[in-house]
Amino acid sequence: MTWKCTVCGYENDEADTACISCGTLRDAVSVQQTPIQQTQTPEQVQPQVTPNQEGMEQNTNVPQNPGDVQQQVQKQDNPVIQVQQQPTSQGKFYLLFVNTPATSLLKQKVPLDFEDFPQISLGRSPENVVVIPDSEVSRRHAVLTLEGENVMFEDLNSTNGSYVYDGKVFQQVKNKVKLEVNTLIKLGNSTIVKLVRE
Amino acid sequence: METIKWDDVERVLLKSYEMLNSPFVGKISCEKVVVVGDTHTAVDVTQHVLKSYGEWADKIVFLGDYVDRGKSGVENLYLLLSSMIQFPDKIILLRGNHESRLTNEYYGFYDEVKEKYGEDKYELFEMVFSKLPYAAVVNDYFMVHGGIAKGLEKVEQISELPYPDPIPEDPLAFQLLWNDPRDMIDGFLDNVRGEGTYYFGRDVAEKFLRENGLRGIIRGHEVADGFREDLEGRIVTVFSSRYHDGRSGILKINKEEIEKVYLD
Repeated sequence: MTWKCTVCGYENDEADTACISCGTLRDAVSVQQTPIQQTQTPEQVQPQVTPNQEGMEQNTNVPQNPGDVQQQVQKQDNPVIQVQQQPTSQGKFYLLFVNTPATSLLKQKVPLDFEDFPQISLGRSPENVVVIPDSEVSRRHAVLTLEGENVMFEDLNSTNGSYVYDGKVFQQVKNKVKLEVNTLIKLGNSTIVKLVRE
Repeated sequence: METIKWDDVERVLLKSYEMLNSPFVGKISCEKVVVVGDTHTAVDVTQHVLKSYGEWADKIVFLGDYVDRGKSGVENLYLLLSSMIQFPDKIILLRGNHESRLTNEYYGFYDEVKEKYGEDKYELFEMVFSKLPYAAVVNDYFMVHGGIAKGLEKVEQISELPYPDPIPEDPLAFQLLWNDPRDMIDGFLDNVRGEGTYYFGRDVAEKFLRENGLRGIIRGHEVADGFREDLEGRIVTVFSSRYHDGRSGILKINKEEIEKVYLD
């Protein structure tokens, strides 16, 4: 069962409470006149590269257009995208790439705009809010949501799994879990991201 | 490229095996140094460096990974070892994680040797690989293929590592060849490369540098568009190969000045 977003037309899963393509709330669809975000589409804020993976020596290929990727990802020192402040005094959440087969994404930070995207999907396909360019990451791998001040992480039954670092080892995530700030998350076998807030 | 005669290759390998005698090059001070990252069969890069900087440099340090990922591993290694034999005080060849059967059987060098000279000839290469040193300290820079290791407190410990160690099986030696820096983490974190490999974080890198009186770490091992910096430039990754679509880079050190040179 799916529902169609009347703003962008994307077919969402029944479980999604907001459109994973444009972020429009499902309940707000009928009254929403314009897209929430007109200055950027999800594609513009996402790293989009050809998945490229090589097992143990995984980080051996650069994306076909690394320059394009870097322009689309918010850099640490030079933000290229205007983003709204999180409604908190503690700063905004980001995912920081700690390891990735796409060398040019290493150390890049992707903002998590929960106001615009209540459900931030992570995965290999271009329709995700955060695209992970890694062939061992599932098309729709996981989803992040904000519950109060807490970032929640849920694996979407991905093929290679999701793992949260407990200080000693990466533990597989079976159910929805709360992520502490600075938690390291492994998606599949080769991508590691860190939840940061600043 | 014409295949080098086995007799010539064998002579160079045997001479190298005899010459190489320590897992740690030691601490060296000199004025002019060139540091070359992974070449992975890029014999043209090796030729260029030797031709362009052979006269100028007091030391040329190659950070390992000379073979695999191409068809000219023997030629690249032959040129490097011949140069080391000819200029033993100038050429330093460190060991990379691709100077091992563990990688050679998957990334091409084992098959290259088998095709060119026969399967039984690989063993002599393996013997030489096992005697390449793991690290050097040049002008207070720790030079190594991968990075610092869990349990490595003093650089002098490297002299005491089991040697020769073909895989290597010693966990500390293994990490010197396989670890990667990540300045956004602290401590040692399991590396996606596999069991026994780690990312080393900001705090442990800073501690290692401080306690050994070092200025920085210069290493290879990870693909970069020539270079990558971590820890505000105190860790520099140098990548000098051709196969990865990015640029090939080398570091040129002249006294206090470090210059990044792109070969393309």
